Amino acid sequence: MLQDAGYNFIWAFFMSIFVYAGSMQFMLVTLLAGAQSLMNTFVMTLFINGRHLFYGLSFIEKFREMGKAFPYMAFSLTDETYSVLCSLKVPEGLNEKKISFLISLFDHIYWITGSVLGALIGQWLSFDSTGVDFSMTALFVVIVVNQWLENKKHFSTLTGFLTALLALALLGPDSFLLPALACSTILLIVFRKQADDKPREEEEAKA
Amino acid sequence: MTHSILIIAVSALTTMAIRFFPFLVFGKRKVPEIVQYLGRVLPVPLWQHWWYIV
Repeated sequence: MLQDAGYNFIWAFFMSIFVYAGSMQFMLVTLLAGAQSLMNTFVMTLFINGRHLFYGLSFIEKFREMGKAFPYMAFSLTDETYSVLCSLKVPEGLNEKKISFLISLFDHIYWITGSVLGALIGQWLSFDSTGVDFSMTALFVVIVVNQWLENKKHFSTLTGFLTALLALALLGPDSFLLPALACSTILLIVFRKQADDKPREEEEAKA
Repeated sequence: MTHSILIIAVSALTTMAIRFFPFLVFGKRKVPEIVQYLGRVLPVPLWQHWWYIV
């Protein structure tokens, strides 16, 4: 796509290093090709990557303990890395911080390598990639099923399912995500007793 | 070319600002209990919402 818009692999390389956001990089090709304004770029980035605001909430304490790696861990919290880190179970005897850092780093390296190779050789490769995009959906399904089996309470799962469905029906696929997330957040705060698997008393005792 | 570089720079800086925002807001303060709770329960709805997009 980038080559078609007149940009070579060097652009793909730097975009993947500094932007490092799949759907936004696809959008950037359109923004670059149309020489869009910087304000448009800012607003589009805000809307497309806005969900990443919620990702950091799960890792504030954990990343803080990672010292010098902390800024990189916050920067590299993409959809894929977030999913893997959330479901990470480190075997005893291994260093969780080191493993989390390496997962983030390798995800980034894979992304840069894939983008550059795609820009370099993509135009000569012709194969039917129909269905490959389903791998992300499959990953999310597996993680949610796993969470369902592990958790005693299923309120958050049901909330996510219903708010997404409702927002999708009301707002359509282009603009449902952030309102659905906002509704989920409000419902989870209001119905905290029903949703939280880890009671407050247990946390306070731990602290 | 300069404009193209600026487009990428704006997108990169905005993405970084979004990702750093929760960490900057709470800085070195103790993370409020309600935020810790949301950090535990929000991942599931987030993944589900993505089913409809990807």
